[in-house]
Amino acid sequence: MTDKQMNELVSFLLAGDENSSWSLICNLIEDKDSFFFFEDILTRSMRYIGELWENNDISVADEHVASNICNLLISRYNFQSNNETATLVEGKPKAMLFCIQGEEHSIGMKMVSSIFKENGYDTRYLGANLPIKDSIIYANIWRPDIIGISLSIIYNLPTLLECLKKLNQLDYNPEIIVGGRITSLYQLKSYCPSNVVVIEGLYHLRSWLKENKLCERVYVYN
Amino acid sequence: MYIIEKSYQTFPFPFFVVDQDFTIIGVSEETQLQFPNAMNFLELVDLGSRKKAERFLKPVFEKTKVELNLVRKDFTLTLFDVYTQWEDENRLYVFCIEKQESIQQIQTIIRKLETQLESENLTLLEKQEQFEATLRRMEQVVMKHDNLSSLGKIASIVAGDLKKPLVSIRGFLQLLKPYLIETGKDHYADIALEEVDYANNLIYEYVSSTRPTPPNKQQVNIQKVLMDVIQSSQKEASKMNCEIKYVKEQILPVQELDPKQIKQVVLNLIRNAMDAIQASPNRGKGNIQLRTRLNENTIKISVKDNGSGMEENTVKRIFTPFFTTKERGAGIGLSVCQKIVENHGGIIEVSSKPDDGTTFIVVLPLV
Repeated sequence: MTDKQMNELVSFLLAGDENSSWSLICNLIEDKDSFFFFEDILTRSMRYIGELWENNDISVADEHVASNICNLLISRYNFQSNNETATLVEGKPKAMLFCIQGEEHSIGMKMVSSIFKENGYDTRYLGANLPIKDSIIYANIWRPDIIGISLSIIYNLPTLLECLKKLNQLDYNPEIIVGGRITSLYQLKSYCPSNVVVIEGLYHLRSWLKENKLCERVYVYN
Repeated sequence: MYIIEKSYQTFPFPFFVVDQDFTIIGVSEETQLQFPNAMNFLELVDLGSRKKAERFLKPVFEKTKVELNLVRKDFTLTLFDVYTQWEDENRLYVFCIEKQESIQQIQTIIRKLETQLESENLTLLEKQEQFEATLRRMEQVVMKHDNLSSLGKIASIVAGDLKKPLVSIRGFLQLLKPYLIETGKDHYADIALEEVDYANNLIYEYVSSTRPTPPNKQQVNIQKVLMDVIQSSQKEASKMNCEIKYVKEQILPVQELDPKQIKQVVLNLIRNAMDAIQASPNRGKGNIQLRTRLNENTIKISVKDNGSGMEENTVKRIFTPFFTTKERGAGIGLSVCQKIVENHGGIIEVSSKPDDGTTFIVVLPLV
């Protein structure tokens, strides 16, 4: 995507113009994969919108308009690519995804959720601002193989650490991954327990998924 | 101008005075309620907003507004509209209006302005009504003047034109009279002459009544004037079984006025009263009452009848020239009465209700 195309997309997003955004995106993603759509188109545009706010060019309300359109675009994308992904198979690995308590920035996790689905996971996305207590209860009952937690704001770090501590007390050992915008700003690894994997961006997620043996199983199914 | 400490302390929102390094010099009470103690304003700015804050709080922007996430006492991030204003190089004022709250505040202000506008609007409406009423009155006055003066012109032309043939008719009648005596029919000529005189008189009356001349004032006893008028209408009144009474209440001083004109006014009022009685169920037992009342500065003459009375709309237009409810009326009488009374420096008023009779009141200044 050229800068010019991005500027165009950003202006569509800020104007709340879903259809123009979508047709522009359709031209861009013809032979590209989801990672390109999520990371190189949407994330890049939303980051740029964040910069516009930093430059005092737009308000938070404008940002909300854009992220709402972004949400719609993700849903539209998922709907379209749904037919192409593998249908449900017994014994699929399970992924539980959510944003840490207090965290309202959920677009990233929504993208991650559709990537997991695309890769054959039985995926449960529990949305933004999930109370720690509820995440533990859900993990105990559903027993996911992977627990993914998203964090964007540094102030939520103490909550994340508390949550990780509680997850470590589960009676089984799920794979725990942490990601979100925060990973591009801070060395999160140094705060987290050693068993936790910090994922820095969607391309990192892709390589991690490839390395992960759970993933290999999925590829066998596919 | 420095905002003095006393005044900003009571600001109903977080307010900071900071120096060029953003070190806090002073705050409002609201700041202390909402924010933890801090040395530097930037400590209160969310890490993610800090770069933005540093950039836009610089003195290059004399005045600016930025959205910033600020950290409050309970460590929650809250979005604020931050307005900044540099007083000089060392002094920056920072006004923090919480995003949602700011909407409420603006709404309150708007609401206040709206009510203000409404009341302004109301007073404006009242004024407009007043102006419109004045305009209507002025229009009436202008119309009256127009009507009267054009009527006067027409009347004098008509009168002038009619007089000439009447004079010649009169001359020829007088020439004819001796011949009629021979046939014993001279009284025909007398009747014809009388009629011509009557016509002449009518013309004279018409011209003089439509254009009342300035009053020719004399020392007059009003009571005598009234008695004269009553007497001259008595004959006509008794034909209609109508009683005209003057209720003497006080002895009135001699008054300076034009007796002919005042007579004309009162006569006109009595005639109208008789007409009104004829048109009412009281026909045959009519009653017209005249009263005079001496006040401090005025004399009030009232003419009250037990006739048919008038609708409000009629009352409103009663003095308008050419307005009439009578089949054969010209609509001149009362407008001329009004003019005469006004020429005397007085006013004429009417109160009436349908089926409840009418009272005309003439108020003349005491001279």
